[in-house]
Amino acid sequence: MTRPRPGRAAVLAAATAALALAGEASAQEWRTVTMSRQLDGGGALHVVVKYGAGRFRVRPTGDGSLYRMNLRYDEEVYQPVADYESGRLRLGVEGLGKRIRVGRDDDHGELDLELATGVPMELELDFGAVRADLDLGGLSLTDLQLRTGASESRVDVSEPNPLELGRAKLEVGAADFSARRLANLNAKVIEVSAGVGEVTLDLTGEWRRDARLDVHMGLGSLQLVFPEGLGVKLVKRSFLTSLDSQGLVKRGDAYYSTDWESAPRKLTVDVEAAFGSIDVRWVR
Amino acid sequence: MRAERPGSMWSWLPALAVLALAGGSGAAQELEVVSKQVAVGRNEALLELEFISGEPLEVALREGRFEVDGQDVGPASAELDAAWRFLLGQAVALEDGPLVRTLIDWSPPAELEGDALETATRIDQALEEALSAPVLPAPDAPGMGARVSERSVLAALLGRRERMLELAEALEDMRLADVQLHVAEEVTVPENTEVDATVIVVDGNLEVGGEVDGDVVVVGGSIRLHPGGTVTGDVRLVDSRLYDDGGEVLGEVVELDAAEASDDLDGRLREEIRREIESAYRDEDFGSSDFLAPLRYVGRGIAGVISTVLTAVVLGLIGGAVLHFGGNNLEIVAETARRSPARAAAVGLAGTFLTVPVWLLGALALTVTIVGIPVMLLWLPLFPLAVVLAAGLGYYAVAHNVGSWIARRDYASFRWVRLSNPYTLVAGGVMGLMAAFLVANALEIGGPWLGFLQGIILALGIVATVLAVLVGFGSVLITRAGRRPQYYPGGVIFDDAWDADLGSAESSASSWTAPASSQDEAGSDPTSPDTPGGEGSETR
Repeated sequence: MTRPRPGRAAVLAAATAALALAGEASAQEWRTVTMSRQLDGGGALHVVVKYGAGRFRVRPTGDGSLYRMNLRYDEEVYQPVADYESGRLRLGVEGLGKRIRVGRDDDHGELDLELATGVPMELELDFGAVRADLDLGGLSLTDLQLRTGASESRVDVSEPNPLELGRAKLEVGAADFSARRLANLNAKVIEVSAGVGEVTLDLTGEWRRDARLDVHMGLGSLQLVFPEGLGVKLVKRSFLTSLDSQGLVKRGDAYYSTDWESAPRKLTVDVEAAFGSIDVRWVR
Repeated sequence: MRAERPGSMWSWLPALAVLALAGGSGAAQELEVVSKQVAVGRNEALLELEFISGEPLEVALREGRFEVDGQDVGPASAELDAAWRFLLGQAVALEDGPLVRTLIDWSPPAELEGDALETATRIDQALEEALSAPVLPAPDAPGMGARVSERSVLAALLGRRERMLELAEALEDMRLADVQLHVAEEVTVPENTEVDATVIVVDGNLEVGGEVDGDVVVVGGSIRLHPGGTVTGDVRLVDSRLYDDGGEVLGEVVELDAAEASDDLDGRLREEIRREIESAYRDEDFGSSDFLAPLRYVGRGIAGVISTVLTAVVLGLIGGAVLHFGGNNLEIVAETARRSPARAAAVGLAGTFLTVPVWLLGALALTVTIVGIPVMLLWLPLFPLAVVLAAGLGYYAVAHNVGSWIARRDYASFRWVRLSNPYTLVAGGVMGLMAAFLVANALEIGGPWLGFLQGIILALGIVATVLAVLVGFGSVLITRAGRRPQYYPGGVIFDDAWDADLGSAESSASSWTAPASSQDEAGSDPTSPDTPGGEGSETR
């Protein structure tokens, strides 16, 4: 068994402390659960994670576990779900049909999830958490669907996906959503549907194929961050939306980066927006 | 005794399961843990493990009492409670081997006594027994180790449908009087021991150091014959290998083709897969939750957008008709709404409040006069109709102004709205007034999270519509439905001076005056007359 990484060790230490203290805490309905399953050498996995009760974190792990889930939840309102069968893994919490209590700001549930990096995976994340912090780096993703209503969501793809991902679909209803290093997804198509708020799509990372980015926005601001050297074609279809087309030149109905023809990798961006603004930024 | 060939793969399962009750002893090997759950709450501290065999183990502290696999084993004291929670704290950070060793090594705290000590001792024994892998027994050895239950063997076997098919093939014509069945286990026949039974190992490995007095069947694993290890019967291998390190097989070694065993049952497997897919679709969600909800929101949102657009189109067509038959009136009303929106709104509000009283009082007055009763019969339906028409005319007048505003902004999506074409002005204005409804419907596509924003925008749309109707209705009242202009549509006030000069208007066209506040605007307004007595005179 590999040694726990420092980050994971910290999580484990925190979970251990929480477990030790849980029995002494008074007047609480909070329950702390740690669930894990070892890799079983099975094939591709369809992972569905559903969580809507607090802070939500996802991390990759390469320690031989298929998943590890640390969950803190109100047992009066929720019950945990960890169901693994026939190549399908379902994790998260489901409601007991009781009314959700609104507590103090720091009194909320948490879900820390680690997923195996070496397992081909169709990942479906559905969360309406208070805050979400997801690192999908290194996961072997073949399909990604992310639906969030979180007030603040951060998605990072810190390491390249070793497999080709056909389509990454991000449905955002959040007030604040940012995704970093999306190039590492190795996706053919990235679809982003955002209702309202601020959306930042950082398209840096390792580009290994030409790709397409489709953005549908209702109301709000969209910031697109491109790495220098990436050929970008941007098509905007909008109602009342301004565009700060820094580094792009308009030809016909589309905006092109100056090195579009010669760029080794090309990204076609199609933005459909109703109200708001689109800002383009380039980084080295 | 020779057993009959099984009629189907299911017929020998009960027999196998019963025969598999022959347990083992010993605690030298550790079981492989595939799944772990540690749950701690105020009144609960639970450890749940699942082994590779599919066998679960649950040790739980609930409401002050301990349970092992659902069986009460005794009360907990404060010391035992703390010791158990501390053990679970360690278990959180451990997996598989280290986890198993930690649990096996756990022992009751020294300070325990009485019932709590007995409870802790039972838990300790249960952990050690459950976490030690089974070893085949010598016939005279007492069964002290973990016994694989019939239920778990069946469960493990049923979870391996393909292996069952292969096993059925391997068991053909085999004697099944005494059988030891092991699924997903590492099985050992130690040196100097003898097993008088047919040993069947599925998805596991068999180490033979002693003697198996019977046949051996291995499916999906291996058999290793150590020096001195003997099998007196046949060895049948399906998808398995035999390693001979100096042992002996007195019968035949038969290797069966796993693919052949599977082929004739492909149809059955396909049926199984079909059922599983159907089950997966039925069980698509976590019970009460609904993954189709987003699609419903999208559907409702799209339907709402289409409905709003159709409504706007219909309103636009009606507006075109109003413009066609009463264009001049509409422009006069629109000009008043543009120049005096606050006054028009106030009049409109007052008119709205007074509508019902006026209607009722009018009806009363007509009734009282007796002779007015026939008129009252017309009054009752026509007055409300007139109010509705007035409000409609006012709404289109405001839409006309909104259209003019949009046309001046020169939005790319609204280039079709042109100042030179009043029909496009009205149509564009209707679209503009309904934009909030359109956006609210579009937001519904985003799902339930945008409900609050959707509500706000919807409210804005309603407020805009009500204001448009109030301002428009007020303007209609002020201008007597456009028959009494307050402003010259190009920017000229028809004030008392104009009325006084009316008599000489024909001879003195310069009598109209443009107000200071509107002169600049009139100058840039393409609808402004360049010369007095032009369009304004026609309007009047």
